[in-house]
Amino acid sequence: MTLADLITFERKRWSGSPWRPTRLGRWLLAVIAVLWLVVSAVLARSGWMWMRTFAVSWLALIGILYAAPGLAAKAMVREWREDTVWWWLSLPAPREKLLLAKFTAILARWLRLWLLVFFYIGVYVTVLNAATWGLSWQVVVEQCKIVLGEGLLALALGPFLITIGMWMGIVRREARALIALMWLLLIGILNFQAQILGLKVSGQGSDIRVELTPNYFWIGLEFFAAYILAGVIFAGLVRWLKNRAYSRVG
Amino acid sequence: MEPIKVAGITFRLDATKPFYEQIVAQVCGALARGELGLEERMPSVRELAQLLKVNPNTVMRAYQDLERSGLLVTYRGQGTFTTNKPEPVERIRRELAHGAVQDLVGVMRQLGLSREQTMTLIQEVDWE
Amino acid sequence: MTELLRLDEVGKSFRGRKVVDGISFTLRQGRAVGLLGPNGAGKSTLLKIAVGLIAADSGKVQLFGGTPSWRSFERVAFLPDRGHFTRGMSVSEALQLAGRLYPGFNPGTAREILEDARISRGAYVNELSKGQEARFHLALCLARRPAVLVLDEPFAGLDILSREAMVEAVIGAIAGGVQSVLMSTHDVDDVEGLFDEVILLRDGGLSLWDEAETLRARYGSLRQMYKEVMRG
Repeated sequence: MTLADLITFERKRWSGSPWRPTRLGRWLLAVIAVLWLVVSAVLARSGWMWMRTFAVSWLALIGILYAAPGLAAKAMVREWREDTVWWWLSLPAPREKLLLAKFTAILARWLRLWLLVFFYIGVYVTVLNAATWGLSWQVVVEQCKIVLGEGLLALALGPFLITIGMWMGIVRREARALIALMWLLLIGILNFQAQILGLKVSGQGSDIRVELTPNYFWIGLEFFAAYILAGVIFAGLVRWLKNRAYSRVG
Repeated sequence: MEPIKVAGITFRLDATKPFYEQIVAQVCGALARGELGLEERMPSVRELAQLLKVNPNTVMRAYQDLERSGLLVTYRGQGTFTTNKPEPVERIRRELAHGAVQDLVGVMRQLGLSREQTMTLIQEVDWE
Repeated sequence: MTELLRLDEVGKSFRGRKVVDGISFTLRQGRAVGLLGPNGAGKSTLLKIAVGLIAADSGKVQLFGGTPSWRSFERVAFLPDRGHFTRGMSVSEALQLAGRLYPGFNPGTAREILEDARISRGAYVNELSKGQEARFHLALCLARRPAVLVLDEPFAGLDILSREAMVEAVIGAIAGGVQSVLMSTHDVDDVEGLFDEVILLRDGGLSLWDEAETLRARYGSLRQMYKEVMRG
């Protein structure tokens, strides 16, 4: 059995059951959609083209960052909800491989979302914005830089966030009380990203400008810490599977 | 359990008695009554186990027992057959008949009938 | 006869409740052992401990002479009491995938059972009836030709025809004398003749373990034994 076979197994399990949001999820989706519409309408009327690019890409970045742990937690929780967990665990493969395959499948799924979102924003910024507002080449390049910076940041954080999400999926099952704390931690980490990117907003009214002044020291430190943490979490997940000390059966 | 017919034998298994003994007894009965002839192919252990919904080891044990009594013969690679010799079948027939008479005697004694009275009764019974 | 599985004084608690309490038994090659007991007697947990899916709190489990690990699953097929292999694919896709996931998977064995259950290869797993899905899952396990087949309540909630077909398939598998079966069930009726040995569990403890034929001679039938032991 190769890793590719296991990844196929993971992907097949999703293909049958399309994503159905929970009630809370439906509400959140509705709120996000309304907010999006309102923000877009206000920005379009005011003609703050810098603010617009900034808002659209920033919202997308935040969305994609939260989607990573969300997807991962769901994939873990799904094992129990869809009753596939004992089939999964009784596969003749080392536990590291099982988890790595799941991780890879989630990452692939998330990467598709990432591509979609940043492709959309890329087109939005470079083509639509420039054509509609007759932007100078220089401004388009500046805006592209911001989108690129955000995209790369998301890409680099994705694997780390997915690992956290897998952990959260298990915490949700094994120690439900802890899950709120973990979300708070996650929100803290993600809010920190504006500082990391050094997004600077200057000017007023329709002259507003956004600049990217990344703090490379912090970025380096963050990624160093994030990937050490991801490694520790992954090792912990493997250990948890190997110890087979689940809090309940079913 | 419902009766199951296979190769001239009708199996009626009763979950309240050991299956192994019942299989042996019912094969013997079929041979003695002539429902199962000489040199006839028996179902394989697997087939019979599946038909009777019984553990194959149980069927195997019954077959081995029947082989020891000379009623079944297994040829390597060909399967299990009933014996080609009439003697062991004749022996079984006598054993069964003997057992039946014993049972009859028991019942008659319980009813308080003497040997002579029983013999008279037997002679009066319509055989056809 | 080779001893494949041995449990020594195995115990397990969940949240302070003793689910499995000091259980010992062995499974030998070519034997079919039934684990009987009412719902909640700890059968499912015990089976999962036996194959190494759950760690016991106390006692010792030996599978193929060693501690159970992921490697044991190359020779042990475990059929969970509920749960799906995966419902998002067609039967033929699932067979193909199983062929890649399980070493020594023989699609011919599976095909036989599927034909018998009238499962078409193009059907989607989530369209199968409950009985069909159960037989499909059993087919996946049997096609691996495992040394040990562990079935957790395989007949629960199935119609009589599916149950009989599954018993027949299991009998066919053990007829070779190589494969062993360890199977839990709370319903004795379907399996009167299936087992060589029977283990009776009650409140997580072992209350009886003997040859099925011996028990049948002693109690009248397994059903009778079950009732008597559970009442007493």
